[in-house]
Amino acid sequence: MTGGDREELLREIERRDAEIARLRDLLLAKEAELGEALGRLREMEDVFRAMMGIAARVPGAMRVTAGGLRRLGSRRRERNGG
Amino acid sequence: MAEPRFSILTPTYDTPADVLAAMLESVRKQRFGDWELCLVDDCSPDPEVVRTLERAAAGDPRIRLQRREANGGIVAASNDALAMARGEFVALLDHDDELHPDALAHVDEALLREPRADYVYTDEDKIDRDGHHSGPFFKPDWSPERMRTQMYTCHLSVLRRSLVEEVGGFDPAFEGAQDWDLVLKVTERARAVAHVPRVLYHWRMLETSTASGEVAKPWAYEAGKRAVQAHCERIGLQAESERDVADFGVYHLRPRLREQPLVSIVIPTAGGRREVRFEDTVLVSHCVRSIVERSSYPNYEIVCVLDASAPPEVAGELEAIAGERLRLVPYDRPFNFSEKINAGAAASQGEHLVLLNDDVEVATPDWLERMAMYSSLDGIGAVGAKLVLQDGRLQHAGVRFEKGLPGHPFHGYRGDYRAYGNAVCVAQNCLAVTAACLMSRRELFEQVGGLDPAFPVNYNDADYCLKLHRLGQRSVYDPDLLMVHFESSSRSSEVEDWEKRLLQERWLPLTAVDPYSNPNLRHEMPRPTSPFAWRRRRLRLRRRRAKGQLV
Repeated sequence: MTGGDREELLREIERRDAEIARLRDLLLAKEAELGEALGRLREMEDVFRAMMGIAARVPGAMRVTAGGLRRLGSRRRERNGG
Repeated sequence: MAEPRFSILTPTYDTPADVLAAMLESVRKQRFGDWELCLVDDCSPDPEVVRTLERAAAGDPRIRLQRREANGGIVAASNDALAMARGEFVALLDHDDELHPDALAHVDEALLREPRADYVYTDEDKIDRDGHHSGPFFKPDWSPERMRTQMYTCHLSVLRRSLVEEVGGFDPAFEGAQDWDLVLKVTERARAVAHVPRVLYHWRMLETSTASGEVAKPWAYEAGKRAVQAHCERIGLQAESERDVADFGVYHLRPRLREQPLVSIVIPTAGGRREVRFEDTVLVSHCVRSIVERSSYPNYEIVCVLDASAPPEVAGELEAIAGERLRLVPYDRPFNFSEKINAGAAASQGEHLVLLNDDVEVATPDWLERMAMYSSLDGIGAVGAKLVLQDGRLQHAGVRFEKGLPGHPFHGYRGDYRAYGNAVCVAQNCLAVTAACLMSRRELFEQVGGLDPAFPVNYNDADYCLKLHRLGQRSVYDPDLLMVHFESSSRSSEVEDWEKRLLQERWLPLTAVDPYSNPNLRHEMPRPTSPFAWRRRRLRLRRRRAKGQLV
């Protein structure tokens, strides 16, 4: 290898190193963006789970309310002598 | 008239008639009747305010009214109300807010349970002009470190009157944050503080009240900063108070150390490798390089407890990076994190010990100053950091216990997540912090026997912090101390059943309910099932009373 070839090769390696560093920085930025999105997704999943928990309790709560209303109604009817 | 249990202090000034009437009605409706209401009108220009107050005072002997000759501001009026008070305790009620009918009854119950309590606070919510409730704030039990970065106890605050008078009442130097200053002063001397985890105070959102936002009273937040600063100076916390740039109710402490004692950073390592930022890396070398290159604290040593099986070049690499600061401790037994930490601590000389995983990278230059700031304070046993994963998501923001087992709240959430009640971005106490990055004073570490080798992989940190807790030493999470954690790079993150059992056997019932969370929260999210649970509890109590099981 001649001196000129060697210098050209070193310049090429330098260019490639710089390109690798640039691509790595890009990857890091993308990873941080992805992390942000995944983090938001995780929050939303937790909120969704909590909402589903409430929704699952609605029928039970309605049954309890309906039972209470029925009892109240029957007591009122008893008081009214009906 | 005999001394009442509670004196409610309420300075009034130009209060809207409907709001004032609602406030008075909420006091009159108290289920617990042993109270007096000390009203001080600060020279309201609207004659209707005075007429309403006079009518109220004429209608109930427990309501006492005093009128100031000239307008003196909230502090002067509050001090006048304090001078009128005859009760054992004073409760602070703003002129436009409301009390829950059971407020004083529950506070009295808390005081009967803990007679040494000199300060009691409750949960609160907000209420609008039309009486609609919103934004419940479910608070943790007493957390002195949180109180320095957020006035989280706020309403309802009930303080022992003798102690309030001892500290000089409301200080005009902190007008706008006089309540925060008073609570800080009282709690510095309090024998005990009690928390009632029920919404018993309704904070009215009016255009002129702090509840509506910063623009209403900008000076109050500056006064808050000064109140925290004065408190730090009184208790010897070497710190400077700063306001948060994004949230007006949040403050930060910046270390201002007068001394820089030797800190020993103990890092157990097997010299493992993994990809860090898309580059194959020796983790411990990366960790030590980040310490050496980024730390601003001058007086530290690094103690690496190195497995005999570690690649031979690792020791040389570490010496090249850390030079004379490095101390290598060989370890040739089967893996046991606790034993390795204890061996490193024994070989170190620092006044403070930092337990650090080898898969951690320093991100905050003054991390050691921050840790030493807290660790030097009496009553603090362990200091922990905010850890984020390589992609910036949250890994650790303090440890929470549920049913006796520790967990990391908000794990995997985005890194700038502030959480319910700003829980991620204010300093606060936890039952435990992770040993991935933990500072303790050496004397305390030795007093509790270091980490327990019975926990070779998991839960050794939780067990250690709970041992400190038993000694009355608090653990602190500092949100401004950021580290990157390439989590569980070398070992499986699975927790074995026997580890869970061992921790529960040791620490239940202490860890059954985390005092730094709230019974109405699950994973720090408001848990809408709680009102139902509460009703169920009350129904059960009523049924037991009816059956004669309860007096």
